[in-house]
Amino acid sequence: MNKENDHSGNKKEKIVSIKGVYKSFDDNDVLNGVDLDLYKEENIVVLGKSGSGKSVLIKIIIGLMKPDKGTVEVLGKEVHKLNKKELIGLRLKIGFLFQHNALYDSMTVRENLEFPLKRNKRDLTQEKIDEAVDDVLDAVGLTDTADQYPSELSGGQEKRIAIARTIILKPELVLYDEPTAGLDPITSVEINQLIKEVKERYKTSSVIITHDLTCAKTTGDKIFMLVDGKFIRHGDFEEVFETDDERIKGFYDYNFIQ
Amino acid sequence: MSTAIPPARKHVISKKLDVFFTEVNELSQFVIQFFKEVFTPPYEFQETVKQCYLVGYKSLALITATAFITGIVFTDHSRPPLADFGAVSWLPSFTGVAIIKALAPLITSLICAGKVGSRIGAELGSMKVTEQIDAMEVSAVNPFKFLVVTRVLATTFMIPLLVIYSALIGLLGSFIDVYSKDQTSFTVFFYDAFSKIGFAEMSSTVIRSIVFGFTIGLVGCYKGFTTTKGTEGVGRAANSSVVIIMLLIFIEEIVMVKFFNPFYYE
Repeated sequence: MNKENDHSGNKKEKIVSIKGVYKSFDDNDVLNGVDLDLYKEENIVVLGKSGSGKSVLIKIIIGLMKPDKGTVEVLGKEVHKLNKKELIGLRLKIGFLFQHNALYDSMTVRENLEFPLKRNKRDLTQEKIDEAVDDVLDAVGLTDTADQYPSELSGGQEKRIAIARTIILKPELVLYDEPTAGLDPITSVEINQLIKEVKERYKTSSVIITHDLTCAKTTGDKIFMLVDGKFIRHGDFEEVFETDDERIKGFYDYNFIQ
Repeated sequence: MSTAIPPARKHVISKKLDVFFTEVNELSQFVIQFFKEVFTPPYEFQETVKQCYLVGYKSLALITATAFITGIVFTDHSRPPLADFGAVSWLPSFTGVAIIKALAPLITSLICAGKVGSRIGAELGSMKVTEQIDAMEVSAVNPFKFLVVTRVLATTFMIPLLVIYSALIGLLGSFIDVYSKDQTSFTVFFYDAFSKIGFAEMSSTVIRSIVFGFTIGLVGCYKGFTTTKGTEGVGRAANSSVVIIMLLIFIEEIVMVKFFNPFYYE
């Protein structure tokens, strides 16, 4: 993998490289030429209003959607040129946290966590699987919920278990889709803290999609502001919001009032 | 008077035809993908067994009650016309043929269309709208293999077994009705009931049940897998699964009966 100067000028591996990505649905242009680079062990936050195309962007990164134009390289591989087998191989190195968690509701927490392991690492013994499950449950601080069903958990617990499932395959890249959406402020703070801990404990790089400024400030090394399908500004939190651009100021004020 | 179709009506018709043929095309692709995936490892044995349990064991009570009552009622209604011709002694073989060849496969499959087809449609539909299917895909698990192949295999294996079971229960109901009026022995009744049933008849019943089972699993999975528009879509998936399965079962029954009939009467 190529080493390049990251956003702070240090030589680092490039994990994600997005160049000139366009995507539209019928007459609705969602992404209008998006460029983004993510470097190793870096957390990037994509900030924008609901419907600004943030979720579409990470679905394109993981290959759930195809861009109309442009290239998306993840871990040195061009996602949309991979065949099915290669894409599966790449996805083993990517974790994806869904906005509404997407836990399998017919399975217990333990079964939810075992599911990707058992199907992707078929040579693992049950002992090793139990070890991996206990490790991620410990990482998210919910060791006593293993035998519960998702419907028996609170919103915050569900989110933690979803994060545990996201990291169980030890991914290099984690994509978070609105990690604090629908959570109360205290739980949101806990989840933001957990995202930072995941980065430190598992040495992951992340793209975090959110419209929550607290989440962006706490978890992001760099912020990319998405407006009308384009990044209009990027940098660290202070850099992005020290501006007279009404669109950014409006977004800040709205969040502050909220 | 002009008989031309107004343009607005033409537009509606062409839109409906478009939807119909798109769905036929998608369903065909779904069938092709099933046959591709079913023979490719890894195989999901544990999930297939679990689905067999859900399809088979969980339907037993309903199938037992329905088959037993059908056996009694059918025999009871058949008695007077046969009695008019002095042919009451034909009742066991008559009900045997009717239950094994027609009623058991059709009634069992229609019940399973409602019970199993709607369950599969709703289950997969809700998994689709809550992004659980996407979650499988991004964790490098093939959702088609785990969800569709296992369920279609389960219905294809279990429906024929349920049909045979339901035929036996139906005949038991029929025997009780006959016994209550004619005091026929159990052995004589079953000997007579199976006297007109040969290898061709049994094969036809089993083959038709396999086709019905495949249809139930496949359409249920297809409707669930292609669900859109949230919870409303889940309801629609469950409902349309049942309607399409029932319609297909009747069409398949007509085609297969026409195909198998020459073999019985050669």
